[in-house]
Amino acid sequence: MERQRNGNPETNQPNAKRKTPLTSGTLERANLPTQCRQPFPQHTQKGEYMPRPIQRKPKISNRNSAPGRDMSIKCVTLCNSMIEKKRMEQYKMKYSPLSSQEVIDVINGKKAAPRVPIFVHMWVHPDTFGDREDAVREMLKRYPSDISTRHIAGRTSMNRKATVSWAWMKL
Amino acid sequence: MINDWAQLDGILADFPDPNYPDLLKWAKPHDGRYNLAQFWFCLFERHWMLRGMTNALMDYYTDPDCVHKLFRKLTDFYLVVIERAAKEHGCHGVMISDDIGMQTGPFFSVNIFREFFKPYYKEMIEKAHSLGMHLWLHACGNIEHFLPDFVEIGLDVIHPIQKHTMDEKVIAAKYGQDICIWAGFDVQQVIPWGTPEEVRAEVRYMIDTFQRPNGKLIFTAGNGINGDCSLQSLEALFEEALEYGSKI
Repeated sequence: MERQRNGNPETNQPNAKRKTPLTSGTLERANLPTQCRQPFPQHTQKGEYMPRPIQRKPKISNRNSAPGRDMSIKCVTLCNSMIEKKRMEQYKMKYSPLSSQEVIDVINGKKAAPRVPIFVHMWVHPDTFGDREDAVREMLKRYPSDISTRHIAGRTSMNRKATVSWAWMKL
Repeated sequence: MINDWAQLDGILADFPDPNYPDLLKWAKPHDGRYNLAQFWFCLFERHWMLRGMTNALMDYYTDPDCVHKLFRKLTDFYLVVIERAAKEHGCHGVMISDDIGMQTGPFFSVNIFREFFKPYYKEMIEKAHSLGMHLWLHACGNIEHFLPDFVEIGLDVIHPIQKHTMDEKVIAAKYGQDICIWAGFDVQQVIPWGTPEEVRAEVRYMIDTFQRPNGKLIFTAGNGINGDCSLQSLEALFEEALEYGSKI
């Protein structure tokens, strides 16, 4: 069984008390992040790193044609962005990450990707390598992870740094 | 801990709110890769953490209604989380974890699985699908007896088909077309004890075993890769997975 050793790096802050009680409609009022709903900036210039060609508007599958999918389909074009190019150059990455659509096709059995998708990073725990920790972290930067993970915060016995005000287990 | 099921109603009355904003507080933007939301511990793992392993395994026989009541509440929580992951963050999939297998076999019978687990997993899968998402499950150990049911209810991705617990060739042949295998590299033997060349050979074996002409394979580790692994072996794992995975 895998445990979350490092908590959630994105919510690694002191516990915050909920200011107002949650009621129905709180989420709407909270104006939660909607990064993916925004159009992507036009940053690719002629002669710059060329994104993997996308032949047509991706259709994930019938079940993936739900309204909520529109925003993520827009994300596909960002795969080989300037940010990714910079990262590849900085860390001398030989392989670029696959796009979300390529991974979706692999999962759905629609077609194989140009290479087998790789998703190893989340299982490597550099903090257990002692004085080799930095070397492991540097190594991880040189290889792609085709999946981007987002941890759903849950203050469990193994995730003491999450900021939620409740706990599955009292600590 | 739920020491006595008489405590259950009080616990359920004070259950975590799945609409809590910070539950899905993510700052990093989408970068074009597949975007997977993860939460650890689902039904069985929550159950035994709350009740203790011995009590939990007895509960299916002695207090089935209480187990269903707990699982109903947990599932309702997860269904909201899944919906929020899709609607607020455009995730492509949600990963849950439930180690329902041990090294030598499952924790419980198929009948118990079908009564207490399958209906709730099915709800989560259907919710994910209705939102255009995949549902991924991490389940360590031997889960071979449950795989036909997982395929039936439409589970999209299964991890890790743990080495040394099942015959991976049999699993791949039987189910490799029907479910995407997030195949986990052996972290019990090869990573800690093998040479880099043995690591490379095992990577090639895994890809040859699980890859299908239409995909259905994502390569990963079977569980945590920790300090008992040499840097050379870890590098060999990445290099071979990427190089050989590009040729096939």
